[in-house]
Amino acid sequence: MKLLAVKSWLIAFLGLLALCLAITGKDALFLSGVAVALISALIFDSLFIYLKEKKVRVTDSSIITGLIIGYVLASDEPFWKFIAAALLAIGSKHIIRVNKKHLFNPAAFGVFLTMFLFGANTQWRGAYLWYVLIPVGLFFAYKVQKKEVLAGYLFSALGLFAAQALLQKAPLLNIFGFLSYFYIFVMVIEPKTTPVFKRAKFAFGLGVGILVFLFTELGVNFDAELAALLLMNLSVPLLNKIPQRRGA
Amino acid sequence: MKKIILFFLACFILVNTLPAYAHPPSNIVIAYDPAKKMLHAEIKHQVGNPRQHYIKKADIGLNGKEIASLSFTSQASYFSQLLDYSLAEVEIKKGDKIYVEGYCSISGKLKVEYTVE
Repeated sequence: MKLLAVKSWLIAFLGLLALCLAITGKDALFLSGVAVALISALIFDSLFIYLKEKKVRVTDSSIITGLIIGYVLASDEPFWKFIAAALLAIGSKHIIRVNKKHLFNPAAFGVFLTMFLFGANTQWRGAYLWYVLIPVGLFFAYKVQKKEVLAGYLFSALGLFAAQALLQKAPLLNIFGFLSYFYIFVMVIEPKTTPVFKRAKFAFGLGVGILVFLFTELGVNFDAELAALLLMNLSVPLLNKIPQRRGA
Repeated sequence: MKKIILFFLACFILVNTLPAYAHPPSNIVIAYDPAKKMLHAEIKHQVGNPRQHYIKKADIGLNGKEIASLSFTSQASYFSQLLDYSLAEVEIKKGDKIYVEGYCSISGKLKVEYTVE
């Protein structure tokens, strides 16, 4: 299955899940936020493409970015913050580029900067639906060849939180409660902003897990997960230079 | 490498029989005692270190209007933050809507509404 087809599946999944969450939660505001973020991302992406290519084109990745922003930002934030997040996300995709690829996960960049600049809140809608997100996320991770990223993340996150639980004599199974499944299975495995090679992918996931743990333990007053992802995005050009084993 | 990946993914799925909570509170259970005019709420927020990762604020509102805001500097347990708040000075009748909105110290919030019976 080509990346393009996987993106279409992801759009369908995120769209349907948003619809289900809005209907079951009787939450029209959530759907409005998703719609505003999605339409804004589409418009800004088309504008950037037009400025570069003098052609109007709609991309799947802009739809995915808009949908993710709608899930992560709090629904009761004013609409202009969703628009700002979409502009920052799409702007970063077109402007901050290394080796002809965007450096940062667009949705993470847009939401994080909107929180930082405009004091927005997050809600991480659907983050609890592990029974939906784990199977679907595994499918997507397999299709975009990012299962090593997942393995790296789970290795570090489970290891560190388990060690902490043992030291604090806290319930060990409690550690599964710290994992944000939407973040792990939708955002962290984004194909364009993660490394290409196996060892690098594992190191990337490992780094994200370590940073999430450190930021959480430091009690930072910013979104630990988005910050961890963006910092590791910065390291991708370096990680891609890790020597690979033959055949890897 | 393939075996390691499969091992961790398998462990993760097999052991994962608990409901999962991310940074925002997963739920808020609200109860109102009309005799004592007391509001009780349990903000469910599972954490690994309640001193560093906790519910920092809870807003209480009546019929869409905020009436109180409580601050916390740590969480009482690994699983949730409890709060009791007296509504003695507020007139509450059947059908009124009380809401509690909990804010995680790191990121995320959740608002839940309760209709007085």
